[in-house]
Amino acid sequence: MTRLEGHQNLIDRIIVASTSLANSFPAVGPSDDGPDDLALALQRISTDSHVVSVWGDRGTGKSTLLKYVLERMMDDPRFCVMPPLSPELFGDQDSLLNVTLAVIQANLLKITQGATDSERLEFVKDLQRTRRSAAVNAIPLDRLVTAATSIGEFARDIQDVAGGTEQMWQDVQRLFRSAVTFDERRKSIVVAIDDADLMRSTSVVELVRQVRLLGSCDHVIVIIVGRENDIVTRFVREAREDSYVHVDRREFDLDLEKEIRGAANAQMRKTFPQWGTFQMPEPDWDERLGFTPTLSDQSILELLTTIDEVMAKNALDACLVDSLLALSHVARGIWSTGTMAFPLSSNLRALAQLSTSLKLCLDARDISSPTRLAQTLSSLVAMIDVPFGVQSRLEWNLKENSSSGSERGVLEAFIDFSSIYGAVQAGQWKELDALTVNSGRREASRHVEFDLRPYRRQFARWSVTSTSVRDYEDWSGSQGLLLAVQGILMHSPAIHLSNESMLTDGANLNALSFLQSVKLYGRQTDDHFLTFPHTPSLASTIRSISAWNGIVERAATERLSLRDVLALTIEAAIAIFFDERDADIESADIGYGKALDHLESVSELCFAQLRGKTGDPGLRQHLLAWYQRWVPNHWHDAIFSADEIVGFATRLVDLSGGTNPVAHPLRIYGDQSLGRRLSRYASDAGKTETVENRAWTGGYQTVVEALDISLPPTWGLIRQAWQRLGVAVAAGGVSMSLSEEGPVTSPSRSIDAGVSAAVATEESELLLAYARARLRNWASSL
Amino acid sequence: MPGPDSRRTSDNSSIDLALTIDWLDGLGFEVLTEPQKTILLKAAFEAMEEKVGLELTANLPNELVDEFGAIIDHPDAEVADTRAEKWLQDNLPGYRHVVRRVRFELEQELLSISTDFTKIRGSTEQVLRVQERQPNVTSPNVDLVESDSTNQNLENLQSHSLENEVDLLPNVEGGRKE
Repeated sequence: MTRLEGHQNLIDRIIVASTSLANSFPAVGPSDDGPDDLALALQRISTDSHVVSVWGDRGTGKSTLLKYVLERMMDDPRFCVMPPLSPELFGDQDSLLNVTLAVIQANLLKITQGATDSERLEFVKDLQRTRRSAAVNAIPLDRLVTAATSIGEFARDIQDVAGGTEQMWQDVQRLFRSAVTFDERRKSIVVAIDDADLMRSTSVVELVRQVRLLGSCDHVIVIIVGRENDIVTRFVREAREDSYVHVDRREFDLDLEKEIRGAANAQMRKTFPQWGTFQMPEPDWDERLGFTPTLSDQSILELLTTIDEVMAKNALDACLVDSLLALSHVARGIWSTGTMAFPLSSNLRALAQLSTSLKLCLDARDISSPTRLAQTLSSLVAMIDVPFGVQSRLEWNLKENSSSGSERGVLEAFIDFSSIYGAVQAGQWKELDALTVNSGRREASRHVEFDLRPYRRQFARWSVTSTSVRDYEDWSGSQGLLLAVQGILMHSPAIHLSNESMLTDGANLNALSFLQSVKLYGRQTDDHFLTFPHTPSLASTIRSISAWNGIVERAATERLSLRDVLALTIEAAIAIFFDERDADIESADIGYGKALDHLESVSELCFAQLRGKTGDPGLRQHLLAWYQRWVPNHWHDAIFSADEIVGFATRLVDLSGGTNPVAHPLRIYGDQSLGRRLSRYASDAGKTETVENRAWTGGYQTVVEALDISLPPTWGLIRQAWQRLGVAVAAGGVSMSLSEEGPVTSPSRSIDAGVSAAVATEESELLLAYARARLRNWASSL
Repeated sequence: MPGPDSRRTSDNSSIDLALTIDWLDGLGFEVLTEPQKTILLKAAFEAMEEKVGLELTANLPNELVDEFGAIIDHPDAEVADTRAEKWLQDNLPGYRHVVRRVRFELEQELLSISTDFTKIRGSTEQVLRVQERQPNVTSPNVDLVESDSTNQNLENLQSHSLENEVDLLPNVEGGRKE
């Protein structure tokens, strides 16, 4: 229970409001007949709701405050306080009314203290009649019939339910009126509802309706505490479920949404009048940082400090901690400055979740047992709030991987996030125009563009559909949960992920071979240029995605050339698959030749490690296979000179021990993967159109010769088309050069010259994109 | 406005190929920032290079293509340039005509691009204004026609922007599911 220092003023105000309300009720005596049905109905529709509401986040002390308020009221003879109700404990058939009536029955002696036996008997009769009426009204008709139900009983039940609701409420009003007559000082029965927002999510509308009706009765004061936003949200959601019955859920109906929101707000205003609404003060952020679930636990600050220390030894943790902090919307800046940029969430429950998550993640780094890991994951998901949109608990299947052979991984994990509906999106992509046209006309005639924008969008977004909820944006909850689970898995010994896993932030494992949007001589290519080795474990997957993100970011910021980007992928692959660490893209040196030297030396070490059975064989083999199969894809004539390509290929052949496949599994051999793709392209090259579309693959002629790749005769057509294109562009460049007046006016010279006062606008961006696209079409049309 | 007449030269004289920001401004691209203009100038320069080359080599026999390919692949760039120049004069003596014509066509294309863009955006904004004024009124036929053509224009604009270029547009989807 939270301590509530400084809340006395709030308690006093609630008592004053309740006392004032109680004093406004008409005085009644035991012999009064009371108003008739019409008068009761008129009174109900004209009376303000007698509901006192206290709103605040979980953990802010609402329940404690309610306890103090009720204790104060119990000392006042004007109030007859009933034990507080907890809607979270309500069963399927329970409603606020029938639970309240049951509580009155249980406290019969307290309520009727001072009454004569006949008065008490009369009260009991009224109570039982009202209870039966309330119970029948709360049960759906189809459940009223049981095997033992007679036709007569069923007919009576139908009659009771049909049109009986109004009468039932008049009985309720009379009952409360009667309840205050047994003590002349008594003014009101107090019905308190704790944690109203924890009501079953499908019953909030009914709860609010019953609170309003109960609160419209004289001589009863309803005190309700909870999270207002949760109630409104659930109210809206429930109303939406009803309203969209005849509307296609996939289509957002703005008018219907306005109507639903309007109805929810009106109902809230009527049920919880302004005069009786109180807001719990929020704790300041010092209190939050010092939060501990129990006195013996470490505070959030201490846990953060511990992780901070660990993080200094292992950069991977930065990703994890950021993810965990997302649970509580904590600013990232805490790590670099040691201070919090803005306060933590006010929700202490979230802090408890954060605290547990941090502890679990710290523990998880020692977990090697599948059973313990499963328990840790269960603990995490059990204790944090499952994001909205999750229709069922997340499930996973962890088991011993019997087929892992010599690989280090011990677990297979399959986590089904299909029931989460969420979308996570990174920031806007920056304009990227990286052309390798910097040195002289000859280079300038090689038009190589690359564009990572589609991938920036692709990797940054994950969204899963749900059949039962509408489109929803969940920026923190689902992401936080996903990443926290990722973090725990990441810190366990290597795990094998199934291909269906959605743990990779939108990129499935097969998609880790990234097709880059590369244009050669203005023609779009459609093969993989920028790739990573296949990722056999979660850690390598996450690291590859992280590296990919870093490369995209750096390419955008520094406007790197394609050649530079390819160099970064090599350095990243070495870091992830050989050094088994995060790739430090931000500070990595750029140089393709140097990167390939590095890869070559690492490959030798890989062979040695594989022979010596040290390191992760899976990672090493994937790195070697990538060098063999995908790195030669870099060696395109438009990107590298013929001499460079021959040098690269020769070293690969030397390292591999030849250009033919060899039986030894630990050796690699001159690429057959590039050869297979080129063969396929060449085999398809039967039509002029196909030849032109595939002409860019003709730029692999140098590496084809160097690796002695055998291709079908139609390769000649592609080769010729590429050569003709290259000659055309070169001839164009030379012709223009010879025709020029004065020195070459290279537009690229002025790229950094001066900064225009004009600011790029949506309009200018659109115009530029439009113009460039039209120019490309114009250039390639004859 | 720049035009072919202002730069008409004899066949052997040099041609003003300077693609400058002022030249671009004269063709209706004042709205771009200087970095954007530089990007567009590079695109224009490369487009012109490609266009000239494709026209010159369109009917060139394969043997000559191979011959020229061998010349420009010479490891010494200076030698390659000298030989390429001679080869051009021997085998494609009309290359200056082609360069001049393509230069003119490039101007016309850029002018057409800026004009088309203004038209497309103008008609789009006009329809949007009409729709703002009459949000609940069914558009009369004339508006429907205009609206259709505007939609078509927008489609054209986007299709001209091609694959990835549309990514330059601000992402209006927010975090919603695609």
